[in-house]
Amino acid sequence: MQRERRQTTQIKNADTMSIATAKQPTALADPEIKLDGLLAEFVSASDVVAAAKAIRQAGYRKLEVYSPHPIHGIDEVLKAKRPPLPYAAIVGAVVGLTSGIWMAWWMNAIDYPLIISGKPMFSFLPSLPVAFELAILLAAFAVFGGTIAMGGLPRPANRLFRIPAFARATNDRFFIAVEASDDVFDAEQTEALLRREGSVRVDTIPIVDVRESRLPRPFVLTAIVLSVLALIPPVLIAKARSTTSTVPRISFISDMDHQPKFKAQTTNPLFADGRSMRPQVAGTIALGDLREDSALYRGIRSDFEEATGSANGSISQQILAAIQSGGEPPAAEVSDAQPKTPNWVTEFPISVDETLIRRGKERYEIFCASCHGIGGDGDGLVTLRALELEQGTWVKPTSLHAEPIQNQPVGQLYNTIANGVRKMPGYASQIPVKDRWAIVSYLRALQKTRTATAEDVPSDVLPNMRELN
Amino acid sequence: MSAPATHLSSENLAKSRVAKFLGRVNLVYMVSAMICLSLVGSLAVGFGSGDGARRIGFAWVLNAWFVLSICLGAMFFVAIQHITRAGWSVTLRRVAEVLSASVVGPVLLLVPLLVALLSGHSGVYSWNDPEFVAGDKVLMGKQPFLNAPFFAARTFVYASVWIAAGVWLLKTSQGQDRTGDKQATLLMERRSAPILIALALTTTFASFDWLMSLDPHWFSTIYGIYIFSGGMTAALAVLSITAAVWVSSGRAPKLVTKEHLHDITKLLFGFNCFWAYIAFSQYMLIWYANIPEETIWLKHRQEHGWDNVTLVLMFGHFFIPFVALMPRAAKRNSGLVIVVSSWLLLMHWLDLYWLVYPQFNESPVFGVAEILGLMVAVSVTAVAAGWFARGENLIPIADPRLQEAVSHHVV
Repeated sequence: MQRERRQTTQIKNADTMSIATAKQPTALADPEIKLDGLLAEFVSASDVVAAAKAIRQAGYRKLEVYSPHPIHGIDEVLKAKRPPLPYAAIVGAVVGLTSGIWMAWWMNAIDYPLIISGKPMFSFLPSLPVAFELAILLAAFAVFGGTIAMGGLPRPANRLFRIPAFARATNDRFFIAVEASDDVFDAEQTEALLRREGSVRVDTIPIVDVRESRLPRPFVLTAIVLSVLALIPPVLIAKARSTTSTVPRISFISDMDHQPKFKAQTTNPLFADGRSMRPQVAGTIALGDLREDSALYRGIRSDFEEATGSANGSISQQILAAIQSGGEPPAAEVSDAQPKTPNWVTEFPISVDETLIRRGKERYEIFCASCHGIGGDGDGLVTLRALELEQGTWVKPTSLHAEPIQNQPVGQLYNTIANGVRKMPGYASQIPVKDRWAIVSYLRALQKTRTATAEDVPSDVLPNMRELN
Repeated sequence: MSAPATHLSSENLAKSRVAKFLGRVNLVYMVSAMICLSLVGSLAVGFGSGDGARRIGFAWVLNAWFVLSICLGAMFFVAIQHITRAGWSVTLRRVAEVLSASVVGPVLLLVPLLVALLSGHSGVYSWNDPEFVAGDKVLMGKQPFLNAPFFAARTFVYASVWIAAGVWLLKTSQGQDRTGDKQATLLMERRSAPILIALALTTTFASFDWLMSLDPHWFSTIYGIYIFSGGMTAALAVLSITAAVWVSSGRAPKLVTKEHLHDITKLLFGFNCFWAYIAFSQYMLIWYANIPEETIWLKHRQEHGWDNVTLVLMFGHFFIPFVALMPRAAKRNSGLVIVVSSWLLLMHWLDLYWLVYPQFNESPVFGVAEILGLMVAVSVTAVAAGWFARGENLIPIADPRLQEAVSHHVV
């Protein structure tokens, strides 16, 4: 049978075809040689759309359109099934959302609980930003992965590329490929139909006996080798984390790791006693540590002061006297008697004025009012909360207006602030010396508010007070 | 898919059903005018009664801002379509332009409130009461800003910007219908940039002035964006309803298609998510910082019945519309779009109610005052819209990008 298509349907790359069909170029001439389908070339998008419509109407179902650009309306014509990609997206999103919330719960409430400003260990709302972002991320991954998977990718070899004319599919020509496995397919009739519908050339699609999705060997081998190599670092890390070592770790930043200085509790060969931490030289006191003024620093009148009447220099005077007399400094008294109550000062060692009292008020409200209350009645917020909890571990602070406290000398009040008493801790590390005296002065003012009488009020203020209810 | 060229000529359009639809606009305009007048009349009577005045004041603010936010959202939409040289939305843009010019309506609604403020009323805005301010350190500090004359001057500036921009955008576009001048498109594109900046600034500060200052001790820097996002969503809901009605009724075949409906609903969906994002951001930051000065505002909205409104808002404004509008098919279904968009308009009203009314009362109240206010606000705006749309095309027939809109196809 005469076939004109001999000129047009020659497969020019016969040498690249597999052994099975390498026999002759025009497979259509010999019906015994199988072909995998027909590839028709079209000049314009509207041509290919019209042809695709006609081919579908003729009953063909296994056809695909190849085009350099997306064609509006081609999906409706081909009635292509939409891949279930949106479902992949929603699954990714839901997984991301739940993982984010679970992560926040597990990490912050179970695995490593952190108390942050008394907020609940796990709260749904702040976990939402993390959950939201993770949802978006996993949805994006799902769509990306889904697109690749649902598109049948990666496809390193596409048999259509063995047809030279197909190269123009990414340039300026449009193609329809009809599979031979279609029910309605017939080599002659299909070709005739394709030509009738306006194709400018029809090629046969060769049968390729190699699976198109198979990666070439070198790729596979390289991938296997790289994967195995990539296992090495995690294995090394796992080993290091689960075993002990006698060798110190490798230091990359040696200047920082090995600083030429002596750290505490290490040996120092430069000194005879080998210590890095140097003890205080015998008989010395650091600058500022003398704290001779016992009244100011401890609220206690020292014996020396009692005797000589001078407030300052009690310790240094003692030492000086001892040295002048050629003897040892007076030894500490060791007595079996009951520890006597210290000689609390009864006068303020610093001058008390309104500034000091105001300072004391401010400091009181910062440090003391949380337990003792603004008014000193022992009804501060911490106390109220502790009593509410009823755990039996809290002792209500004494009211500062109680008689015993009113009768305490200022030195004793000072000592309580600095060193604490019973369950109250000392605040010496938080409140400097002058501020402690300021608080004591404010305490006295506070106590005065409950015990003052009309005589205590200045004469110009008293008449105004009487007029108020 | 070639463009249906035959439908573009203005003679054809004049004969088309679009023009017939326009005839009905005049009727709507008349009816709205009547409703509006009667309602204003009844309100004037109601204003006389003592404490009811405070309630009517609140209802007025709420409903005026309901329609104002929609008109501003429409104005944003128009400016954005111009500045991005959008082609797909050309057939829907005229409606948005009419809506943005209708900002005259809400502005007129604000006038009685301004008069009340300037004459010393402090039932709604407590910062207008000098005695109340005098005892309060925070309010004393805000007094140079929150005082009636400066407030009125600022509102005058906002209103001028809004009316100037909205009317200019509409008139230029309508003028292009007659002349077919492409330069008009270029001019609107150029001017849209400063318009957007001015719009952003005025919307933000107007929302601070009129809505945020209802509770003068509280503040939130994201408030302007909150109001903008809600208004934009509501404006897009109106546009989606318009598109859905046009698609389902076949009034403008091939001019407004399912493709346009799909895209405008997509925008609506996106901006609704944006609203939820902003609303949640405001909530979470205030919650986490836990500063009593700020949390008190949220605390009001979490007790005495306001917590129910909050929940309805959370699910009704975000979660349900999110799920409802997510499928592709849903966005192309006119019936569903009309239902969800109407619901979203209701939710936007509820959002503003949730913002405004806790200041009025400890627990939610709803009654005649709120409904009347809504009817007044909507009818005043409808009258304004009818006024600006009368005798003109509802589709920009001479827009150079009309071809693009007509052949628009969503993948």
